[in-house]
Amino acid sequence: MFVSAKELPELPEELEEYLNKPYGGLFGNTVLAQVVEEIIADPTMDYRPGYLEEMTGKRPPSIRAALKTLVRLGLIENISSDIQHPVYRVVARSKKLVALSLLAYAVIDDRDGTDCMDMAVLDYYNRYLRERVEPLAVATNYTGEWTIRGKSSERDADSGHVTFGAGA
Amino acid sequence: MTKRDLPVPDGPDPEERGAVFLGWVKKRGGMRRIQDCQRKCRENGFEARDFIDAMGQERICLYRASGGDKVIKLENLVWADQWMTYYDLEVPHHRHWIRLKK
Repeated sequence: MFVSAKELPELPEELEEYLNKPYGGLFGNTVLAQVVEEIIADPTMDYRPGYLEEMTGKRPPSIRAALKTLVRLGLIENISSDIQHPVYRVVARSKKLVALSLLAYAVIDDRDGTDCMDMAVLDYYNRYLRERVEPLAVATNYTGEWTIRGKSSERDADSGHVTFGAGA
Repeated sequence: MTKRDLPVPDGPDPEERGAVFLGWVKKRGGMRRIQDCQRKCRENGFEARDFIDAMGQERICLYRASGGDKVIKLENLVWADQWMTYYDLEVPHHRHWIRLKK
């Protein structure tokens, strides 16, 4: 479906500043912040420098420098054996990866009054932490239902935000 | 906990690659310029405009920014959250990553 730009609804002015600023401008608009945001936004992908140059509009030397920094900081690793053609992948065991994902949701939550981060925290707990801290509950009591947290928070009920409840 | 343990969320199924795209938009403030979205969707093997049409403008919609750029904005965060949770994409974790790379 092709729609000309004039026919489209106008993006609210207050949202425009979020278009080009990683994490709502929290860390400025540096090349490093842009590359971090791009990689955190999809940790399932293998990244080539050329792709990141295309997505950020930044020049190869600055992208190379950012990638080198992120390797040093343990957020990504080069998985290519070809020294001329590096390919980067997130270091999945890095907790910074999880924390930055939650931060990305927090930026939307603070802006829009939503509960994306809380939902992600709950999902992370249900999937990966609960079996460690509540092994008996996981083994014996799992309901797997979508529940609305109306009892604990009126704002949640108002927003209609739905949370996966493990029902312990 | 696997996808099979979860109830199927309401609304159109974006499929796993579409849910990856929803997560990408969501973690970038819930909106991106259409050129970036098209590039990202091509990388994932589908077209951004087709995806918007299939999912419905009440869930993910095109806007016009003041400079005239077209912008894709995620409208229904609840729907996106539910499908991202269903496909285990809400928070990255090494177990999930290993599953994706298989």
